[in-house]
Amino acid sequence: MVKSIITIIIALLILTGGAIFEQTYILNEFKEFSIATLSLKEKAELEIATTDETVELQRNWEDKKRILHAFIPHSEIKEIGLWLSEAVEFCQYQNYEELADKLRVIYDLSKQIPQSFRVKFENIF
Amino acid sequence: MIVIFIRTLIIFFTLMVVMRLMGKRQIGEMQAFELVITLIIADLACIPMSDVSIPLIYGIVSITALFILHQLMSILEKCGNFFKRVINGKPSVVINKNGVDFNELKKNNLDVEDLIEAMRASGYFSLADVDFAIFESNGKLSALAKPNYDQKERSLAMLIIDDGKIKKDNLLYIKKDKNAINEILSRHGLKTQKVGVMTVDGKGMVYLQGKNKKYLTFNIDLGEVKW
Repeated sequence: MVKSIITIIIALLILTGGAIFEQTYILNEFKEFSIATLSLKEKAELEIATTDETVELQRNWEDKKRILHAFIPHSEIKEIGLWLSEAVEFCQYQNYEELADKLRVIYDLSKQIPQSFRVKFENIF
Repeated sequence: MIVIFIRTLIIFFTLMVVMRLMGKRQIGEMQAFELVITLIIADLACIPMSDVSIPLIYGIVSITALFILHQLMSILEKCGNFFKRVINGKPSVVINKNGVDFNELKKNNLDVEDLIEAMRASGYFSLADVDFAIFESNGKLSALAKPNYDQKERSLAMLIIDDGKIKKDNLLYIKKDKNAINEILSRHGLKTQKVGVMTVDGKGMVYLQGKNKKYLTFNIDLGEVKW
């Protein structure tokens, strides 16, 4: 019985540790990304956003995505990549209005996605 | 991760309650919680394995949660009879010295046909062969044979009346009609509707038990019919 209790405690500790790491990691990654997106969106509204900055945001997201896929199903974050590709295109053609719209959607997504991994009534049931 | 853990707990306990409510027939040879784990774990392992878009950690967390539950259930089982009964249920004595206990059968969602089938699987072909039969908490039937069982000539018993209803197909085997059966019953002061179980074996031995009455055995003449 002692062995069983020890294995339960160890398994619970591993799960708790993993859960805390997962929550913190996802929140931080999306927080960083949303700040960068918001900043670029403001520049797009002022029509001073550059293609290099948009590509940098896209590259930044690709780096984050690689690890985020270990915690989040691919389908849940697929859209961000697609919207970013469109954003780069709009920036190249200096279509700032469309660029700002796309970045606003990306910003909203980066705020919503981490919420679906929090311990909430609607996420459990 | 916590969400998956909580969801796994919820599914586990839901399945556990359902399996316990469904009775012993559904369980097979495992304890209820073992069956629940077996049912879930196959899918948990399969989905993240086959769907690359689902992180592997989802399967690992769920399986770890099941492992914790299994260990916890095993500990609770050892903690005393109360937990053991709640988790696994208790054995049911379905045949005693008075014959078939219909109330116990009903409690386990079983009928006489299920009992006879389980007895055949245990090597007993007539209700009259055993003094006691117990449905264990893992769904297996254990039976204590009558003292003279080894010396007795054995024969397959046919179910003629099950819970007040005559089995017409089986009447063909013994070459008797409803009237002949009613005549046999009236000799023992019973009506078809009041009979819990009646079987006839190949030697003409009848096992008759009225609902809430002690069973009796006697012989009838089957004429040329023997099996």
